[in-house]
Amino acid sequence: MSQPTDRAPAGSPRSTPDEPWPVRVVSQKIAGWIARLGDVWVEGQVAQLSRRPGTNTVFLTLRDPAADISLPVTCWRQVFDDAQPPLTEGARVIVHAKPEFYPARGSLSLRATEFRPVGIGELLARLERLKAALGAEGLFAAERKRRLPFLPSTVGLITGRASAAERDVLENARRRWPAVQFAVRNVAVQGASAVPQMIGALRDLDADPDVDVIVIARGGGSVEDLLPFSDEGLCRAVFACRTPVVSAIGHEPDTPLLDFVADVRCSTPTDAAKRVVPDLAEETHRIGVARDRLLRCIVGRLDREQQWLDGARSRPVMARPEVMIDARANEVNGLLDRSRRCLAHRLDAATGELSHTRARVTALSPQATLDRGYAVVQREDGVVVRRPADVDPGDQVRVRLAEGEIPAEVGFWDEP
Amino acid sequence: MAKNAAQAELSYEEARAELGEVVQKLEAGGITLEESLALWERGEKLADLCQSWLDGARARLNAARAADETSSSG
Repeated sequence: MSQPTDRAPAGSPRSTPDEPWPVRVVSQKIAGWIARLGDVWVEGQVAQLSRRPGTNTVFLTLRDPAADISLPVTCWRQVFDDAQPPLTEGARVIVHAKPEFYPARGSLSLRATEFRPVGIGELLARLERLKAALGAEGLFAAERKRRLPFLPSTVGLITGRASAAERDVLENARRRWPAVQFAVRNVAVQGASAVPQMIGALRDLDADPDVDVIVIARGGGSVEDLLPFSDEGLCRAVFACRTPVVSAIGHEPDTPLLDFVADVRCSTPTDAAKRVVPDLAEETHRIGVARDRLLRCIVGRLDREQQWLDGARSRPVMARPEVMIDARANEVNGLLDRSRRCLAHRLDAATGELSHTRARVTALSPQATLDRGYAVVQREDGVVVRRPADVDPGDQVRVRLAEGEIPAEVGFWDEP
Repeated sequence: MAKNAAQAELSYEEARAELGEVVQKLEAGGITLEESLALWERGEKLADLCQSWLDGARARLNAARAADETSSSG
């Protein structure tokens, strides 16, 4: 008969409250399961290194570059030292390892047997694949690019602490537009924490309603140094931003994927400063020019209108209204004249006729005969005496001579 | 004021167009003296109205220029 603790794993396939398994048995079973997993090739980023002097084992943390997931890794000092180039924090590595259970502490780690650095060629090829995938998904589409504001109220700046890139952006932007406001987020721009810090800062600035544009700036660096700027997670975070994002990564000649997903890509931090704020002097000049043109326009229009008005006023009908009265006065005078002349003419004609008639009357009168010495004898009743029988003796008659008349009495004839 | 009331009635363009018509009618002739006089008086009024519009515009322009110079020199 063996002891219950020894008997249990062998005798019962299942643990029960009555027959619980001791810790060592459980630990042993887990170790057995894990041992069956076999070896694995895993890629990640070295996050923490701990090389304690005097120990033969090196501890490090292998981290997924895109997610907040990590695994502890242990290896013999010799394996660690054999890695070429030497392992540093932030390095991308491919590890050949075997999951291993450490019974003394119940912890799991990867026991590494070999480290291989991720080759630059391989990295670039992988970037190309990622670029193609993101491009196919539409992250780089030109129609998704947002326009930068003409004059942002606040410029968000994500960059390394006290970096040349930070200084370049701040100084150049302030030189162009002295009143520019910045919200600077200093983050790690290389190494394991670069991507999460940049994504955090990006979300933070995107949520700030005062921030109208976000600049991600870094000076130049090696392909590996710039890897965080090609990270898929960062690219997606930039794509998800509502605020326009400007990339300003100094790089030669490889382009980080951030440049493709950003709304505006600038070759340097200085260039980014030029793009995010207008030049005060230039804008002032433009406003001046526009104002001058405006003024010339309105002055010209006023002058033209004034000319027209002066022209209308100087037309004879407007300038000398007396003309219209004068014309009518002339008309009236003319008519008066005509009527007067007409009347005078008629008077003349009548006068002529009168004298003519008078001449005829004169010619027909007996005066001429009287002038020659003849006389006319008229009875008292005016009848001209033509024969003696016309009168009786004693009748009163009038003798009309050329120059006057004589009263006379008919006498008696002596009877012979 | 009477001038303001007239301004409120007619815009510059309306006054200008009517003034043009008045001059045309006067120049064409064929109307009575009484009509001519009435037209001429209307024309004078319209011309004054146009001038007051232009004077007002110039005054505003000069005021804006003066303000601009003050602000840019100060």
